[in-house]
Amino acid sequence: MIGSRRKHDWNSWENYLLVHETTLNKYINTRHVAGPRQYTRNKLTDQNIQLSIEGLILKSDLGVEIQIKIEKTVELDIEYSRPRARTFSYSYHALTPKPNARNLMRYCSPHEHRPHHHKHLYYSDGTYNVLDVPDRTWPHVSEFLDEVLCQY
Amino acid sequence: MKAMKNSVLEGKVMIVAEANKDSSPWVQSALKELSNTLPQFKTKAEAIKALNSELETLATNRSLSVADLLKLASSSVENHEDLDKSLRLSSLIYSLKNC
Repeated sequence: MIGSRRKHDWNSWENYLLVHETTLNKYINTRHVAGPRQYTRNKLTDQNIQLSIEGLILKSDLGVEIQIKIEKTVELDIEYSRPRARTFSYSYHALTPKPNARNLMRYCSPHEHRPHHHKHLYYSDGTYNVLDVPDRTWPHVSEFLDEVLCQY
Repeated sequence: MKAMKNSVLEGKVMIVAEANKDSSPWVQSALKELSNTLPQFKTKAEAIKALNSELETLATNRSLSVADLLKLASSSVENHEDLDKSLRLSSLIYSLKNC
């Protein structure tokens, strides 16, 4: 299987950051309406780093303003000379802008009360649905943003 | 974007970035900042304890159990910061316990 890799596999820490910056910039450069332009960082433990962005407003394909919140927690493997990183917890959330923000879609990593990757869908009539997402097929940030920005 | 090479290590396929001499200023500043910053928690166990406590406080503030708070957060079409946070905390705690 040389030459292929599994989705969400280990990457070098430096490249992990670079990919996240490059991906976000792609949307910031073409669709930014308001809010931060880069992830903030938080060192939870020496081996667990959080990247997050809140209050980002992007314009959808239909010209609708969508609020985006992303939080990813990264596991670092520091046993190698160049640290490796992979995502182990995430929340990708799309909602309408404030005030009166309304949820649209949210991908969550597993938690104790729903121990599978899953996706919440919220509808304009006030109903909602939760769909399991098969392990390892949960989206990259770019896939989530593409889905949201073409759907709303 | 840097060229990448594949290598096999202990039976697992991984991707290793080549020496990243032209890494972006943001990446360089993130790496520097993180290497110079003390962690919020010394251990994973300490983090789990503190985050659980934060989650319980969110539930108490709504006079709910943690399980009911998460059910409410999952089903609420209206957006509320505390409900968002409860879901994020719950996923993070689960991952810290299981990774």
